[in-house]
Amino acid sequence: MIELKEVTARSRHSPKVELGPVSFTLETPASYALVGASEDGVGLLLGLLAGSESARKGTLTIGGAAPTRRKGVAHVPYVPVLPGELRVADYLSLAAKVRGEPEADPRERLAALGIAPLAARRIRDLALEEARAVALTEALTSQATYLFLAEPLVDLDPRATGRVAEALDARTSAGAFVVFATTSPEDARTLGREQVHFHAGKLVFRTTRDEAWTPPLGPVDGRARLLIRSEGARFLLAELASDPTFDEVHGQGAELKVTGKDPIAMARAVAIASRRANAEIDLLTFETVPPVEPAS
Amino acid sequence: MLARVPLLRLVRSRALWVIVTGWTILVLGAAVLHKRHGVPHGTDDALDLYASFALPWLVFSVVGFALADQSLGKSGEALVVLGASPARVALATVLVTMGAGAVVGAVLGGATVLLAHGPGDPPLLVDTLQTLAFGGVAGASYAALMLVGASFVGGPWGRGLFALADWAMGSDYGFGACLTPRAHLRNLLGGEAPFDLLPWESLGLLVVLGVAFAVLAVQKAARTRV
Repeated sequence: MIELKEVTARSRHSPKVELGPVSFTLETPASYALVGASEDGVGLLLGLLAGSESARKGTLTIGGAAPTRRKGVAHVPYVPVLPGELRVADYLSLAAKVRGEPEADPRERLAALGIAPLAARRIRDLALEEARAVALTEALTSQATYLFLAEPLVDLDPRATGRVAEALDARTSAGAFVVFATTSPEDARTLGREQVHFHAGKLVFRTTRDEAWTPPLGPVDGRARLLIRSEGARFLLAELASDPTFDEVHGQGAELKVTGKDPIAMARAVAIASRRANAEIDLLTFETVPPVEPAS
Repeated sequence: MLARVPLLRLVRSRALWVIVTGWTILVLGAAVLHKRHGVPHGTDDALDLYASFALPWLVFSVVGFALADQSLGKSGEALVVLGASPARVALATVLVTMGAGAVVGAVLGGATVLLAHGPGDPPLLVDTLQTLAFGGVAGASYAALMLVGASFVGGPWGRGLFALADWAMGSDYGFGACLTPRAHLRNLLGGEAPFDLLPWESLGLLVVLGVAFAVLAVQKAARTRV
């Protein structure tokens, strides 16, 4: 069981990102999606659960104990930390030994996500998306009871999506808690049995896959919010900031968040701005705007 | 198992091999030249180059490559996230790095004496074996000292600051010099003794310093949040 009581925290790496107070309980082994952008605190919450971040107040327990780096926990942050000197197959063997698990054939483990050809590659020679796939494979094919994953489907070969879902189902059927952070409601629906939505560091609502809930595409509470991810975000920001279609335009790194009243007009304005700024858009998704007042 | 990552960092780094080869050529070249030209106290001059410059800089590089230029705690993060104990990961890294420092110090010191040995020096075998042993202990002690610095700050700054302190304090002959590998190695190789210590006392203190620095480095790294 994972339990948070009145937890507040501030990110070590991005002091502007704050969380809480947040209280909720994940009682049964299943796949849980923490939905929100990084500034909503979902990445920070994932770090708290994995023991890489510290809570300022409140209590957080994982299986009745305080969260720490330990053998039953697998944490895959957005940029995974892997030993670059090792070959992928050697890393998987070493990881199994460190975790105290029986050693399985690394190629078979990698085949779970369709990346067996990476086995002989040295980790430092991998692209980020390949390294992420290796770290994800290690976590999904380990025997860890608690898996904390950041954006498990981002940058992944689209054909691997079904394999990830299958692997998650296998892990949760074996009694594991899988908690993943995502900005994408679609990924949350695909992988999460339950979704926990965050906004500005607060838990706003929880819903389950079985409730067949779909995120509203139209304005909720009078406004719609659009999340854009692009390497040319700063050029897009300059274009969008002067567009009256948008009430608010916020940018952080490669991410932009824009709010407005008319989602159709917003989508059209983003398409025009993308052409003008010559900025390729990697992700464009309407986010769920809280339909109810934030509750802790 | 936990030692594998720092070991591979050392063995598979071409840049480190280039640095080691460069210093070796410089020191051994100086030893050969001194002997060929019959320079008086040629062995002492060659050993001075080895002990004052080559060994500290070599160990500085060894520590940097073993830690992948990160802090000691951070360098083991890839294993800690898998559930390994931070203290055990740090200890494994410290032992590998001290071992590499010892090998570098012993081999280069022994080879220097072997090549520079002159008629006025002690018997060749005894002199070579002694320098081999003293160089090994000093190399390990230097590595432990710089690992303490690297347990605070990553990059060259932490270990560089402690190397600078070793140079500043160890070049003296007072009590402060007793806390540095530099002064004890100088004493062991026939130079001026710090605080009038006998050579065997310096050897003992060099071992004690190495162990104490290693313990400090592991403790600090184990508390580092990664």
